[in-house]
Amino acid sequence: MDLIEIAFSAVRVSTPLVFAAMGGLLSYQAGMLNIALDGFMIIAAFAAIATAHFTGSLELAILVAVLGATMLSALLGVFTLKLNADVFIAGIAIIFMAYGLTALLLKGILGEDGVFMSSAIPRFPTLDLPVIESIPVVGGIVSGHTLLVYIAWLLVPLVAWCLYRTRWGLRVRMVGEAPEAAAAAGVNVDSIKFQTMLLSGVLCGFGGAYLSLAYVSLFANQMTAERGLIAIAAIFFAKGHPGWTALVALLFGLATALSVRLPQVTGAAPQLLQLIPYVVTVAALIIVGFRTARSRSKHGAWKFGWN
Amino acid sequence: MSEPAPVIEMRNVVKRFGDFTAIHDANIDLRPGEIHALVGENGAGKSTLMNVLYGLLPRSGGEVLLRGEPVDYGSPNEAIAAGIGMVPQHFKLANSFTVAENIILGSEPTRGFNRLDRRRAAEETAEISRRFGLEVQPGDVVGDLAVGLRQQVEILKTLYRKAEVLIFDEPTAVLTPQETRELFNTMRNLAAAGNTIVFITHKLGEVLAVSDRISVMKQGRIVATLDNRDVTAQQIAALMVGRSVILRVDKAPPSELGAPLLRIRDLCARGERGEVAVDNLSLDVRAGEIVGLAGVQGNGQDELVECIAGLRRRASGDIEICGKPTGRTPGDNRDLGLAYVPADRAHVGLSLESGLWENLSIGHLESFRWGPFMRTGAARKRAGELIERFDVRGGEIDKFAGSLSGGNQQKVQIARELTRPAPLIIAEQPSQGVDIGAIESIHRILVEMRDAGRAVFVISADLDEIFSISDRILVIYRGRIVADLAAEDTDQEEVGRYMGGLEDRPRDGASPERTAHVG
Repeated sequence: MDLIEIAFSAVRVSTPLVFAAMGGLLSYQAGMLNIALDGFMIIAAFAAIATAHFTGSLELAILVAVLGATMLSALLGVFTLKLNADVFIAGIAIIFMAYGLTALLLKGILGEDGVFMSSAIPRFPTLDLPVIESIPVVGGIVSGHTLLVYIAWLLVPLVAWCLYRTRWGLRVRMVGEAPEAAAAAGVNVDSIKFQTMLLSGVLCGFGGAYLSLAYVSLFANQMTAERGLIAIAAIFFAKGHPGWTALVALLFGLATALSVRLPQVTGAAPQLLQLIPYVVTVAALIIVGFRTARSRSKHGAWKFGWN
Repeated sequence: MSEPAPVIEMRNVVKRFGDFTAIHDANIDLRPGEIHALVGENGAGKSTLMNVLYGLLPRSGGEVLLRGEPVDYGSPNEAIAAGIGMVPQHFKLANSFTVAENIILGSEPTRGFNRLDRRRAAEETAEISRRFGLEVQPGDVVGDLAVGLRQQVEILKTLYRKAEVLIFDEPTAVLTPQETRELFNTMRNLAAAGNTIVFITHKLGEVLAVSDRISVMKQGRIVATLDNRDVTAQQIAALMVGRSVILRVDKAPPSELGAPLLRIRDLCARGERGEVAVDNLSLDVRAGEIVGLAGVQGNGQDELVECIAGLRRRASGDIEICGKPTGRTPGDNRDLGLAYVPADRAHVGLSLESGLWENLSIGHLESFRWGPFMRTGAARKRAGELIERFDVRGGEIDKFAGSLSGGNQQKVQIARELTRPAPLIIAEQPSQGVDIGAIESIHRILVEMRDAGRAVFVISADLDEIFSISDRILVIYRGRIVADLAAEDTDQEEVGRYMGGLEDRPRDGASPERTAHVG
């Protein structure tokens, strides 16, 4: 078993998680628990594959995917910010709607049940990074990915910069922590929240397009496989900090890569090993739970269910 | 003396909420360089009137003139742009951010690509802070600051936006007397620089101490605007309430003291973030006395009371109620003889979504038990009697508790708690959000309870209240009792110094760095 190969595939596998997590953490920082990341991604995955099938253009496919996911995020934004729906409940509705809509369109437009593949869809070219590819170990892990992988990882410092260095970032974080303070200071709270919601749509759009065009080259119903929820787990684990969130996403990617490789080596039941990423997720959430419970359980006041 | 042209005139301003008229034809003018006090009972419309001026509430009628020009602000942003600033009672600050970040929010200085210019933010913040003699450092994190300094951050926020009219909404409610005096100096400095200060309050002593003119509101009307010359607190109080009021409760000196009904020894407790909130605290409250616990909010009072009530686990130490160690749950402690009137009426004290009879019956359910059922008729009958006896205005037994005013909600809590056969009474902020007339009767009830031989422990951030009813005054500072004073031998100045930690006498074993700065 080649460790470099596993690390390479961990980077590849965690890429959609990084896209979704970066999108989700923007709305998380603005004080919204956006659980609809899966819905945004599945729409994008479908839009990407359908566009690529009909036009043969990867650029156009990504564009349509991002547009589709952004429109869905705008819909969720309208539900929660304009119509005052609970973001959690509306998010669930959006996920179901996205799953149903893509399944319907899969049958209606592409004429398939369950899975769609097409020889008309071009492959994503891989990029060998000059200089870096010749570095031992690092080159084998970092070089030779598709463009979207690099975009995802470059997003991490970009998102961090936006959040912690710009005026917009200060407003986003203030809106998340103290919406009243932000409103009193003349910041349009709903507008900031809506912007982060749209951006999480944009980033999930990339994530979905990556899933169907680069990670594999097909569309399957519910192919996002709860990656959006895993991304949310990563955000919570890292308390919304971009760098740490990406690292946790990478850890999940590593767990997935292992679950794919280990059966070949160990001969254990693959079904069992495929549990690894989910076990890691549950473990991460248990750690988060303990971390928050620790400070209050020992000496804390009884909680009666308000704030 | 020629009167300067007013900066702001409000003419015949009306504000309606549905059928309810909160402001009737209010007329007020604010002059440059003056401190204008706006006084009135809770619910008289002071904050509503100022929220109309600040653009938070649209007005239903009348006009507002700014330097003679009619204006109509749809949002605080427009008011801020016109030079009106509000220092809110409940600070609107983000605690994990720095002073500078909180101040610049909404009008941030930037460099290219909308990057924050942190250095300029810090410099400008420090500059304004110096100019008006304030003490906050731009780089400090707001959550670490004392209440008085947080208020300065709010003041700086308005000044950073070039406010010339500053509205202070109940600014002294959370301050020590020393911090209050500093605030008044700041207000005078601001006024001397040509700004207009509006000072919303119901504390009459402060009104007389600092203001140039006084407008009195009653039931949505401005009933008088007076120059602060030859006016007395009694006159203003009479205008506010519409009848003369007694500002101090008449009470006989305490009779024979009985056994300690609340006995706390070496209590330690931690706050929400695991910090030491109550630190080796010991105290006694005896039958037949009213003990007042004074202190700036956030010095461990909440945690102390929660420990006594059984709502918080203590880290170490002993609490005895009526001579018996406290139990594990709030119910156990109540069975030992505790009556608890919490400060948080809306969440801990009452269920605002439930009827008055239900609120009055909970805690007394044993007496209405009939097997697994409840004798509703008897409970409702008793609720009706209590409403009558404790004079709950607007009280019908089926009305939601949330439909009552703060004072009447307080009476409902008190009626329920004090009719239990409980010798120990803990009253937390009993007059918070309660109008003057009701404060009087609440204090009277507490004194009656004392005279009936119960032990009364009052926790209040309001020194006027502490002084008007206590026989003995304890001061809590950073989780410890730093003073134990007989009420007749002390004054607000002295208690205030203890509250601010200025006369801190650490007991043996207390580490010296705890006393290093006021918190």
